[in-house]
Parts: sequence; structure tokens; C-alpha cells
Amino acid sequence: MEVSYWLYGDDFNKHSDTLDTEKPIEVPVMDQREKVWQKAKVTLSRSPVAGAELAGLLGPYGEPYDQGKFYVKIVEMLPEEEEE
Amino acid sequence: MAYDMRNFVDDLRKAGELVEVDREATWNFEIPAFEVMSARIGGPAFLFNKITGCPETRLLVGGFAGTFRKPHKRIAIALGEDPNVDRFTWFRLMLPKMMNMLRPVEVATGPCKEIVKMGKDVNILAFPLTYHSLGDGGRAMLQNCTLVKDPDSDWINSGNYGIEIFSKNRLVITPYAHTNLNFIYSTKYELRNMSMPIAVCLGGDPVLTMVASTIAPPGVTEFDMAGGIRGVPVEMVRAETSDLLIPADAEVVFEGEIRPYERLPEGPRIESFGFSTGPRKLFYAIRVHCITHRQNPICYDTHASLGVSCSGLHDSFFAQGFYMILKMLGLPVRVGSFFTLRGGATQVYSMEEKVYPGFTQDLVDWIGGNPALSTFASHLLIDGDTDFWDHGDVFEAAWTQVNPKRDVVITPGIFPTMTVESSWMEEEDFKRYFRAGTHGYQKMITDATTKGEPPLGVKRTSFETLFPDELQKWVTDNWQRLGFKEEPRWVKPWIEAKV
Repeated sequence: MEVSYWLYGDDFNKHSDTLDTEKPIEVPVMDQREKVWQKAKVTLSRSPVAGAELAGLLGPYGEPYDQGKFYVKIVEMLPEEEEE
Repeated sequence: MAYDMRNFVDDLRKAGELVEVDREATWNFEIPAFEVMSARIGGPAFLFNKITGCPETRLLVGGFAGTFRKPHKRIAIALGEDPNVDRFTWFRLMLPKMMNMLRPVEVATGPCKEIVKMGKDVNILAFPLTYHSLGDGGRAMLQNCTLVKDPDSDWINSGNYGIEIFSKNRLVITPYAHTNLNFIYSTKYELRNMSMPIAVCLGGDPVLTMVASTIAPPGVTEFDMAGGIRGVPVEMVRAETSDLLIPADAEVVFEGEIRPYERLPEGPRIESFGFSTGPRKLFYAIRVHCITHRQNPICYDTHASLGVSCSGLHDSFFAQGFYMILKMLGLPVRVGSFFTLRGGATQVYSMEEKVYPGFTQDLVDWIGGNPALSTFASHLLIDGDTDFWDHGDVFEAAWTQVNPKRDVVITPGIFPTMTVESSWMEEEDFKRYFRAGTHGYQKMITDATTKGEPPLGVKRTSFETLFPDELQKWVTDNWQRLGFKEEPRWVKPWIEAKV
């Protein structure tokens, strides 16, 4: 199944209690269009909400699982550390 | 005018080894998939002329790919050598040229400076650096010529590393433990709390990427070997943001620095021996301050699965450096190389003569004392009359000439091969990234040479041992004249050659 974002399973498990609560969490996500990890403020849900897109999880060796079983809504992409 | 990537593309085209793709293609899985399928079926190299999101850039894949028996097939085209020589001949052809070193020369400017982007204008993502496979930690450059300099001498080290794109101005580089970059950075810059200038170069003369793929002894500038192979010195220009010298005709150069103790997460990703590495670990972070490139640059890429450019470079040049070190150490080894294609990562030593009692222990000591020899976990000694590049022969030797109780040595201790943990890592980081780049292996050394005792001393039933020498030569010489299309494979000249 095509997903828009990957998250690490470890991060998801740490924040699974926020599912469907609209409580934003800060985790690294990989946008499938850019294939670059970026820290973002997101909400997690089991069903589609406005602005949310399908996501999947990655195990420690990059093995994908639970594709399309939940949604991620990007609240804010957090800027990476800027050079001085 | 020196030979460069554009000449190489022309030569591949003339040799019928290149297919040009003018329809739009994407770096996101698609181009790597073409390369991997082409490697599987012995297909061509590809030049993609139009890449999604990367205007004015082109991408060459499969340029250094070959076959298992002739991994140097396209590499030889770049060097003006015969692509049809066998692998053993290739080794013997290259070594004296590489040892005949010529120092690079500095020139005022070069095509690599046609476009210069500094600071906020730096955007690594504008280049077609590919995303290779499902689950990879990010886009990556797996074929490059990366330059650093010893701060205490004029030694310039070049290497070919896995480099992941972290953001528009950050890269993460993952040198193996045995590499000179690791040695220079960790012992000469980081310990002095100094930042290390670094330049990641794509393109230029293909020979630069080839020598970057060797293991050279510490202190040897690989570009000196490139000059030896070409017979003329490499032309270099001064970098924009440091005193590094870079190839004048490189297609793209990413200039930056590795700061002391600065790490970023990298991986997982596929590795050159055909498996995925992981998990995501912390490795050296590169801050990119400047990108210089030619107009309409030709980037190149390799997947790291089997049979692709990565295999071609490994089997033709990485192995060549390894062979060079064995000869310099004076070991009684005819050829030393390793198997990547279907052989996992086993270092194989074809012995000049019967192994003397205690040689295996000597080898354990050499492996322990030489990072280059310590790269792989498994080491296999075979007789000179075992066809080094025939997996069937090697497999047979490993199963029929080995007394497991006597001929297999497994080192009791672990050889630590990577230590790149960072002082700012916390317990949680260690948990997440496991040992943070620390690899440790026990070594297994298997002596599969003949011991002269039945049934192990029985001569091998091969073409070379079953028939008189003159008859072997007659059959080989007349094979194709008799109407057979296949190329005969006669290993007797290899066995008898002094190397």
C-alpha cells in the first residue's frame, strides 16, 4: 500500500497513547516525496481526518510494517538546526 | 585535455554498452530499479538525460558494471584496456601501473568551477542522488571520490564511501573501520578538536573513482596511483572553502567539513555484498558549505546490490588494493581477493605453495595487525590449482580439503572494527542505535589447502590435471577454430604464472 510518510516503530510505540486524541507529538518523519527525514509536529489517528495522510512504520533494519494502518497529519515541519 | 566522464560516456556509447533514456525518469526507486535489472541480465549502462526535479542534470548508472568473470569489462573501456582479458590478467596488468605513482599537479582553474553555489544557495537535493530500496534511511551517494588531507603531511586520501543525504546541506558519511579517512579523522582531527575539510566529488576522470575504491596503505595518495595508470599526472584545483585540492574536471563537488564529535543518524541501507545493513546508527556528519559543478553535469550512481557498478569497482579495484598490500607484506599468496557476488564477503587467498605449519596462526596475527586485512570475518586459504574465481572449485575445496578440527580457526576474541560513538550520546541513543556504529567480529580462518594425506592429497580431476600439457594447449588454442562459440577457460597459465 502506498503511504505518504514513514515513522520509526519505536517512536510510534512511545506515543501510541496519543492516537485519535489530536495531541501533537514531535517525531522524525520521512516524506515519501523527498525521502529525507525531518522532525515534525504531528497528530496520529486511525481514521482519516482533514489534512491527514496514510503512514507506515519501519523497524530498526528499515523493514516496513503496518503500512496504511494509521494516518499522520503534519501540524508543523520543524526547522533543522541552522548553521551559525 | 584529460580524459573525463564525458569521454567515458562517449566511449561506452561507441562500444554499444550504453542506452540513453530521454523520457523523464525519477531518482526515487525508478532509476535504481533499471540498474539492478540490467545487472541481473548482463544489460547495458544507462544515461538518464531528464530527471524529475533535477533540471539540467544527467545521471549515469551501471557505468562500472561488469560480469562476474570480467568485472572490469566497462572499467577497461575507460582505461583504454582490452575489456576481454580474464580477471587474473587484469590484476597483473593493473598492479605495476598503480605502483608506478605520479604526483598530481595543481592548475589554476577547471571545468568543475563553471558554477559555484555558496551558503544559503547550497541545495544537495537539487542533484539526482537516488533513493535505492525499500526501507533505506534516505537518498544516498554510493559512488564517489571523497577527499580529505592529512594535516601533518601532503598525503591526500581519496575514498569511495556510502554517504546519505540528511538535508539540503548535510550529509552523513559511513567509512569502514579500515579506511584511511577514519584513521585521519579520528586520530588527527577529532583528537585535536579540529574540524576536517572534506570534498565529495562526482565525475572527472573515471580512474579517480577507481583508485578511490582501492585499499591503499596509509600515506599513499590514491591519485598518485591514478597518475601511474594514466601515465600523466591528475590535474587538480584548489577548493573554494578550504585548502583541499580537487579534480579540475569533476562534474560536481560538495565541499564541507566534519566537525569533531558531530554525528547524525544514517541507514539502514543495502550493502555491497548484497544484504541490508542496519539499524540506523550515528555516523560522521558533513556540513556542506559550497557546491561547485559543471554546466549540465553528469552525476553517476551505483546501487549496492550484486553485479552493479559497485561490484565492478570492488572486484576490479578494491580487491586490487588488497592484493597490493598482500604482496607488499611479502605473504606467500599468489592472488588475494574476496567474493562479493554470491560469495558473501569471504576473503580468499590463493597460496603460492603449500601452507607451512603455523601459517594459519600467522595469518590471524596479520589480520589482527592490519585493518585492511581485517575487513571481513571469513578468510579462506586455497591451493594455487583451485580456480580462484570458480565458486564450484572453491566450494569443493572448502568441503573436501578441510578437517574441521584442525583446519578451521575461530578467534576467541572479537576484533573491534568500528568505534564512532559520540560523547553527546545518551542512554536512549545507545538503546535506539544499538552500539552506535561499533562492529565486532570473531574471525574464521579456514585452511582448504592440500595436506598431502589421503584422500586429500589426491590430485584434482580438472582439465589441467587430467591431460598432458601439450594437449591442453592444443584444445584451448583450437577451441573457437573448431566452431565452438564459447570462450575456453584454461587456468594452467594462471597456476604457473609468477606474480
